[in-house]
Amino acid sequence: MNPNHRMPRDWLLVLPLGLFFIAFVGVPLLLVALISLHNDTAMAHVGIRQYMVFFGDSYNRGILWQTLWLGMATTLVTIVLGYPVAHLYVVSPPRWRRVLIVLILLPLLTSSVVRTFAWVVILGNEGLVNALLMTLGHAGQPVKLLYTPLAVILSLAQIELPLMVLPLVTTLTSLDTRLPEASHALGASSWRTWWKITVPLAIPGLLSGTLLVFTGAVSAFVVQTLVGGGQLMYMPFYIYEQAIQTQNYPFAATLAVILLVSVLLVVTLLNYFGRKTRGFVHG
Amino acid sequence: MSLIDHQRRKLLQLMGAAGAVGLSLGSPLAMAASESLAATTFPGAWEESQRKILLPAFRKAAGVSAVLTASQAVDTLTKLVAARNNPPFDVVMMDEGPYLQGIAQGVFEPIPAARVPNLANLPAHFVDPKGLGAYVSAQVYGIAYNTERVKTTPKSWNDLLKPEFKGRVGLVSLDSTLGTVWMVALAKMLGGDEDHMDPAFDYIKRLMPNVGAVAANPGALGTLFQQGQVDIACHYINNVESLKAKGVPVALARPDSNWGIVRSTMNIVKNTQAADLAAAYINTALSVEVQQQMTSAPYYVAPTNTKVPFGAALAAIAHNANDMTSFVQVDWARINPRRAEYIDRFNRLVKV
Repeated sequence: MNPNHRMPRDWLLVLPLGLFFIAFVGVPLLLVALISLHNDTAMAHVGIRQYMVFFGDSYNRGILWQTLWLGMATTLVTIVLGYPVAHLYVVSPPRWRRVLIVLILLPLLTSSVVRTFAWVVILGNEGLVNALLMTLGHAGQPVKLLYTPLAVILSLAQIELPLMVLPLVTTLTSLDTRLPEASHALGASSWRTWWKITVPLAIPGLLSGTLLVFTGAVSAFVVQTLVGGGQLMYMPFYIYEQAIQTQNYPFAATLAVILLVSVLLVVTLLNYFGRKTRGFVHG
Repeated sequence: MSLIDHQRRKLLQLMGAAGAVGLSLGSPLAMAASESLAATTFPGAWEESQRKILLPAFRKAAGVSAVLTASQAVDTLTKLVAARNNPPFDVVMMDEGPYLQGIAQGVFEPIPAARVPNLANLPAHFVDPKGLGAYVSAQVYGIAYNTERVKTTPKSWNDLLKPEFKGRVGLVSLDSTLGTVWMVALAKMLGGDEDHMDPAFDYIKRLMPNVGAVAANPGALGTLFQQGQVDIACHYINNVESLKAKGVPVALARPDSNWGIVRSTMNIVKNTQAADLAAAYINTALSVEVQQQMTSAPYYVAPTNTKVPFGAALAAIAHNANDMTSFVQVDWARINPRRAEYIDRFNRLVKV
C-alpha cells in the first residue's frame, strides 16, 4: 500500500487538538490583535495609535527590553548551571541516574508560588543569605538582594532549570560515544574534544532548552511580581495592570501582541542559528 | 477484529449508561443551584472571616446556604460585565473604585431598604445616596512601623521623610486601593485633593531616597515588614494586627492628618434570580452579631453598624462607626477617571 494514501486519515487524528487550538488559542489571539488596533479605550476608532504610543516612549521600550533581557540572562544561567548536571547524569551508572532524575525534577514538583515565597524568605534583609553574610562579617548592613533584577534571575533560573537539563540529558544520552572516542584516538585533548565534538552535537538540546526557559522566564508573572517588587516592571505585569487595573484594553492588547511578536522573533532567530549549526555539524 | 468490535460496543454501552445517569442527575442539581446564593468576597482574611462568621449566620437567618467565591473586586466586575444577562453571582463585594465603575456599567440592582432593615443603623457617611450598594465594612489605615527599630512613635506622614529612615520606608503600588487612598491622603495633607495630586507626587519624589522597597500589593508589604526589608509604611490595621500575632514587632500610629478609611460595599447584581436572598445576605452582613465578630482578632474589620462598639485593637481608634466621620476618605468618583494617569505617573517615579 502506498503510504501516501493514508495521509488524509492520519490528519484526522490531529483534528480534535487542531479544533481546540483554533477555538481557544487562534481565535482569542486574533481577537487580542483586533482589540490592539483601536485608538481609544472605548474601542470606537480603529487605528495604530497604541503602537505609536508604545514605541514612542522610552519608558515602554525599556520595559520590553528589560523583559527580553531577563529571559536571556535566565537562559544563560540555566545553561551554565544545567550543562554540568546533564553531563553528570550521562556519565553516571543507571542507579545514580534514577536518583539524579528525581533531584532534577524536584523543582517542578512544588508549586511555583511556594518556591517563589521561599526565595522571598531566602533573599530578604533577615533572610538566609544576609544572615550568613552578617555572621561571616562580610557585611555590616544587610545587602539588598530582594527586589533586584539579580534576585529575579536567580529564582527564575532555579524554577526553569529542569526545562534546560531535561532536553540536554536527552541529546547527550543519544550522542554517539564513538565520536568523542575517535577524537581522542586522533590525538585531541579532552577540552578540544568537548568543545569541537560534544558541544556542537548538543546544540539541538541546548536550543530546545533555551526555547523553553526563555519563553517561561519572560512570562513568569508570579516570580517577576513577588521577587521583583513594584519598582521592576516587566511586560506580563504591565499587561495585567493595563487590562485589569486601568481597564485600558487596547493598550493591554498592544502590549500582549508586542511581547508575543518579540518572543516569536527570538525563537525564529534561535531556530535559524540552530539550522545553521546543524548544517555545519553534518556538512 | 471481532474482539475489538465487541469491546468497542461494550464501551459505547457503558458510555451511554453513564450519559443517562448524568442526565437524570443533571436536573435536580440544576434546581439545587438556583436555591442557593452565589456571593463573592475578597481573597485572604476576608474570605476566611466571611466563611467562618457570615455564612453560618446567613444560613441561620435565611434557611439556605451561600456559595462564596473569592475574587478581587476588579476581577468580579469583569465577570459581571462579561455575563450581564446571566450573571455568575447574585451578590458581590466591592471596593469603592470598582463599585462606581460597576454603577457606570449598570450591573447593580437598587438595594430594597425594606428588606434590609439593618441599613437604618448605619451613620449617614456609610449610606450610599444612590441606594445601589450597602457599606458593610471599613478598613482603617495609618502609619505602620517596626517598634524595635523605630524608637519614637511616628506622628505624621512627614516623619517618613526623616533622613534616619533612609532605605527603610515601604511603598505599595498604586495598583492597590491602599496605594491610591494613601496618595490622596498625602495630597490632602499637603493642600491638594483628588484632582490636584501634584503635592503627593512631589512628596514621593522627596521620599525616594528613603524608599527601601515598593510592594506590588498590601499582602507583599506585610511580608516586607516580616523580612525586615522595611520598617515604616502606610498599612491597614488588620494586616498590622495579623503581623503582630505572628510575633513581628509592629504597631500602627495615628498620623496627625488623621486615620484613613477604605470602605467596602455589597451589591445586588442586576438580573439575579435571587434578589430577595441577596438582600437578606446583605442584611446579615450589616447585623450586630456578624459585625461584632468581624471586629475581633484576627480580622479587625471596622463595623459600619453604629450599634457595634469597637473592640480589641480597634478600640484605640474609635468608639463606633459615628466616630469615623472625620477620618480621611477618598472621593472615588473623582479618582476613577484619572486612575490610569496616576498609576502611570507613580510607576515612572519609583522605577529603578
